[in-house]
Amino acid sequence: MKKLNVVNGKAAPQRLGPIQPEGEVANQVVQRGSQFWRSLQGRSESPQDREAEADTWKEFPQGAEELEIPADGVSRRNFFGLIGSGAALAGVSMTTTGCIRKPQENILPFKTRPEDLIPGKPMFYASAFALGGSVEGVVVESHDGRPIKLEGNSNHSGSGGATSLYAQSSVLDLYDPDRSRMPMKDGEISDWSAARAGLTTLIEDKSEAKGAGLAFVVRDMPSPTNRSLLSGMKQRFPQARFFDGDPMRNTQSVAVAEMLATAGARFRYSLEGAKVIASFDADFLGANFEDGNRLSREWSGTRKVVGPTDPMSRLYVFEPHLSNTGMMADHRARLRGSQVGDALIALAKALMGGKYDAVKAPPGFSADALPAVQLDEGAQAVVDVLAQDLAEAVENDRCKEAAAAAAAGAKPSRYRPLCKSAVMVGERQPMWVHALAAAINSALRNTGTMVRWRFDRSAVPLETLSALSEGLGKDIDTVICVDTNPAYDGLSDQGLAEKLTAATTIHLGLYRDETGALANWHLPISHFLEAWGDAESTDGTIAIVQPLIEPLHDTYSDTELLHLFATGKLDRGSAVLKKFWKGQLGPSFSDKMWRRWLHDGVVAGAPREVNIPPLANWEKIAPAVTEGRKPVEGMEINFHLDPTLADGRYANNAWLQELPHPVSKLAWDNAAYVSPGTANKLGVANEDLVTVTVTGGGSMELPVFIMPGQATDTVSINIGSGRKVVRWDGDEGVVSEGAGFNANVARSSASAWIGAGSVAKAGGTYALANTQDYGSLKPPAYLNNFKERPIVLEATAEEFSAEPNFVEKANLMDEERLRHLWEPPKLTGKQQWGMSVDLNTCTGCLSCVVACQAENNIAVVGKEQVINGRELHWIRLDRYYRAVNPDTRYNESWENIDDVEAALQPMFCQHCESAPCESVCPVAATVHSPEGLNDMVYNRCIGTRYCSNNCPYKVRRFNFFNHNLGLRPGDWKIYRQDDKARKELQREDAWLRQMQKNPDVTVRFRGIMEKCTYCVQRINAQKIEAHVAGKEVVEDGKILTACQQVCPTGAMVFGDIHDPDSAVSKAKRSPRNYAVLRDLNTQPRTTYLARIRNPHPTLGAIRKKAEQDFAASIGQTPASTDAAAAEQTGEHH
Amino acid sequence: MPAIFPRWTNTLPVVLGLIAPILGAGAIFTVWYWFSPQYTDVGYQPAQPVPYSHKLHAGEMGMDCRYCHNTVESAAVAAIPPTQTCMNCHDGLVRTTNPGGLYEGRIANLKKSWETGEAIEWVRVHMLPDYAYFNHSPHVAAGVGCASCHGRVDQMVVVSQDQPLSMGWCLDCHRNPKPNLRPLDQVTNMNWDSSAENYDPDRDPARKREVNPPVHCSGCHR
Repeated sequence: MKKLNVVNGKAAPQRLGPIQPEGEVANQVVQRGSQFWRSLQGRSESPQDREAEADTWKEFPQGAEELEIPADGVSRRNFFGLIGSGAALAGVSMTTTGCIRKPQENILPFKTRPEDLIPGKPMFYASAFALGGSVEGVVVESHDGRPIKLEGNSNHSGSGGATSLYAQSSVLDLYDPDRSRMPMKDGEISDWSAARAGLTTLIEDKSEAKGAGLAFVVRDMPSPTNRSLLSGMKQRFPQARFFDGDPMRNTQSVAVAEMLATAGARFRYSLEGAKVIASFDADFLGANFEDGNRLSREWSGTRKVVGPTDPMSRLYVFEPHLSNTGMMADHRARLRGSQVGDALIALAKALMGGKYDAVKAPPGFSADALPAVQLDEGAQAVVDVLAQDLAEAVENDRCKEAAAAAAAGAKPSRYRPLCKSAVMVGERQPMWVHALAAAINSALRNTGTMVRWRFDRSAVPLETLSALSEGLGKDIDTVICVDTNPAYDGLSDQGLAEKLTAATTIHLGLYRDETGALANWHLPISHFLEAWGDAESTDGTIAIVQPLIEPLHDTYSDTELLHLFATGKLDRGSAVLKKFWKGQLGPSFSDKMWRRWLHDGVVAGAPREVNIPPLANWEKIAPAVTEGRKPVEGMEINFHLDPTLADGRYANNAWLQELPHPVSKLAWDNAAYVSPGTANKLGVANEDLVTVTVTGGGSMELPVFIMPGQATDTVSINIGSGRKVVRWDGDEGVVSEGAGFNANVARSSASAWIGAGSVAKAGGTYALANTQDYGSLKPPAYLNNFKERPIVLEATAEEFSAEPNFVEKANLMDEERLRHLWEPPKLTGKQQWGMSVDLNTCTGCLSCVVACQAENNIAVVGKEQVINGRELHWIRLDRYYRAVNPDTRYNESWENIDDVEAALQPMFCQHCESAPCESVCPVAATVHSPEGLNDMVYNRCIGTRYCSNNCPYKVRRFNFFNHNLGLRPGDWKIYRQDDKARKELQREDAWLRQMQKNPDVTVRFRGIMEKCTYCVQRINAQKIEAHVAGKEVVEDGKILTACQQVCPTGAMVFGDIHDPDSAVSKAKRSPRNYAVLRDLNTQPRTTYLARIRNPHPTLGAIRKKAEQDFAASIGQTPASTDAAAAEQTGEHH
Repeated sequence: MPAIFPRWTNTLPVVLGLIAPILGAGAIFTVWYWFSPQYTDVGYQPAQPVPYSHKLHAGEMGMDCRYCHNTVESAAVAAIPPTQTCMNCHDGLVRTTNPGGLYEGRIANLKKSWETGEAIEWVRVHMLPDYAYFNHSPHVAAGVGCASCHGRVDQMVVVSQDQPLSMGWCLDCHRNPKPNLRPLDQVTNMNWDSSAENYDPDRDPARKREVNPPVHCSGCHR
């Protein structure tokens, strides 16, 4: 070990400590970076809050060190719960034979090994995942017949090689022990022969009656085969009615498309080459938005900047509730949900009021006919600037120039020209807002480029659930719910649960959910990884869904059952599917073609609908606006699809339940989100229970969570929680039980998403699990010699061009002052692994967190343990807030920090070259590999947790309990159940859960530290492949870590940093490249590219002036909040 | 004042001083010897459901290892062959032999598997812990002979474990691999004798890369 006073052979400087950043821009950047805070408790700088702040700095929250075992014995919940001694007993029983010899293992070879199958080597099959109207092509990794992980299929436009978090977690549903396993009649276990007999009678009766009294409740159907079966149903049951039971379906935008064009018309957004993007409550970077994955990719293409001159899009967001899109906004207007439409009216008036010649209103539409609206000053300013920006995008002819240059044979630029614009509206907004956006997009000449139209000839018109509720009282007597859950999705005024109980209900679903529990017949359907199917994306790309495994339980696919209803025959899904496509293609269909489709994951040569309907009826828009516009007075209640549970269909998925909300970072529960100002007004604090009542609807009780960025006097509540899954044995779903609050009991059909209501304190509190209230990277204020250390660096586009090297200039420590406290390890490997994360395109979508969990066998710990700070996610997606208005920034109360901008930073093991964790491990369980990996050796770890204590990034995770309880054969014994049948069942459950585990990664036991390994199993697999092929090194791009692979925006790049031509080396050469906590000289291998915001110059100047005015008013320059800095910078004035 | 301890206790320190080191050394020896994989694992020779003789097939008949273990060059495991592989030769024999003969008696399980499609439940001999991710393919590609780890399987009627397969044993070779390397075409040759051949892997033109086995943790543990 070197002596402390000698650094790199030189004598250490006398004074150590922070230096000043160079220049105005760097000062700004440091100042801004130090103003970010992660948790409300950590924001305040007042002395009385220092203690609270100190808590946020701690690795674990208060009391987390204490072991608590609940007294109420052991139940099934303990898969995710607390168990101290049980596993040890299991260990004893294992060692009775283990002392002498490991337990005997058997090898069971095939009788005849299938062609191409190599035992122990994964195989990959193309398939597709569909949710609502979004379809993502996937490549499924199958280990010895078990699908264990989904990856994106780069051939598929909806995937582009990435997937959403839902696709990632869907593999867990396949092995969910709570899934429905057999048909059930009136709550009793039945079988398929009885079910078929019962159904056949029913269908034949209904067929004779021409379908009178029959209702189908269906999901959004991206499957052409299912759509054709539904049309076939229409012929067999002419009088049957079809209802939309899918809250994920784009009901409003479809209504507008059909109004402007014709029945069956659909539109979709595209963002390729967008210069200006305006989102009106459209969270298009979130997974719930139709084609969110594709749109994220297209958007990121407009934000990947290297140098200061590179073009970059500008994103305007108008929304009531901070979303993924809002966090990435360049300008965000915090508006009430009911005012978002008003902002669009103001935009239409500003654009088409005659000021901009290039903007031509579509025929029959006039902005003058729209009602007058009053926006607050800030929002109006954003709208005016947006109008100007949009009009300029129409006028600019960069697209034409680029086309002409390409025609002339010029070398194509690295960047697609950014020359278009898009105005997007979210599904929460009523139909008139969508109609208005269509008119504006048409006026901006975006139709056909940014907003594209298609025509779905096979679409069956669907009625709403309200109509079903009406019909159930009158003529409807039989309801068939095809993979839908109307008993849960039905709103408070529809009373569907009671009405469905009274009718004859047949429920098809993965789970015996709310509807399944009350249905006369519940029929389990196959998971999409067990079934044949197909799926058509909004852009017409078709993918075949192929099964990876025979159905695990006694189930049939939705296609097979729809075919049964439509034809009375129960054929195999593959036959139904092939028959359909043979019919579509006629004689050109061949088996070779079919195999090619299956191989590529994309259907080629399918006939396309070429007659795109012309857009007309523009004159209908203004009346629709006048009629539809409903201002909301007083408190406004907003409902949103849950960003991790969708509409609730994933409520029994433990990965998704434990996944923190992308903005609030709440896991396991939903809450009433209110802004700090509104919370003060209501007199509520975090975790206080409130009663939320919707005018004309019902009411619900749930805890409050204070969330900056929420519009004043609004509450936002996520739907999808408070689900109830009932197994055939009467147990409740182990994950969904007790998680969150059902919001559908409060919603009314008149104000399903946005409505008036009231919020009142109910008394009492409810514990919420939040992952950002502890483990802060920023040291507490009392260590104020490090106060200025920024974790997140960002600059505006203007600052970036003024000072391209702002990151380097913002360093707070001279290169020569950086010192090693110990000898860093020798890095002798031929390849040196490193990673770069682009904060400019990381949208915080959380796909990487789930992908990492699936790939690396990361356990779920349950809500209590998340509260204790013991969650095991290797990637923590840190979200930072910064108050927008400078005069509220130092305000000690929570008031007036409603307006915030957010920054995101995925934080995982940084693989420091000089790792603080390694130097403190007493047993060398964490050591450095010659290729620069910070290896974690589970088998050596004795659980001192010194490493975690010494990690400045707070990324090490400790297994306080054996969360994989019951996964080993024999372990099921510890459930100590007397019931023999129950024991058998639990063993089966454990087998099912075990099947998802990745065999290439160790399943960790209690008492073990774990953390990101850079997917060392993937590195090793590629290295072995290269070595067997006689190559010294792995080619760049061969190794994709799980997080990198799934990232829709390509924000993560991994590779060899010694190879100057590798993608990661190129990324790290960007002037935006910086290492978090560089001044600690840990030399992390993961570095970040600082974010560049792109505010409009007009608004940017206003803001800059406000900052300067404020600084002057308190007698400080922006970069000098502490005394020492004030002294130094004072000299310049 | 009466003595609290009887007189004979005066000898205790001496006796303990003599016995304790012996006991301590004994304990250390016990663990070192009887708990080591050298003692617990080497020679493990479980009975197999089909008394397949490697001595007969690989030794006397001279079949190449890779005829049955054909995934050894491309996968982590040198897979136990499917029943099909046995039946490539034995198919005709199964049909022609007399009732009560070999196929009804000793290797009836083979016939049963072939007829019913059920797997033969072979007992695993070489068993590494689950946290050690051994992969055959790079070892074979580097020219480590089968016999180096598995011993003279061609002389075993019933296969037994020949080497301890402990981490220390692995690392001995990973730190100094050259003595265990052989020409790439001699990997499956059971008779190849390193002492007789003066083989230097550095001068072998058939080798495309220098053998550089990992000795860091994540090389094998993930």
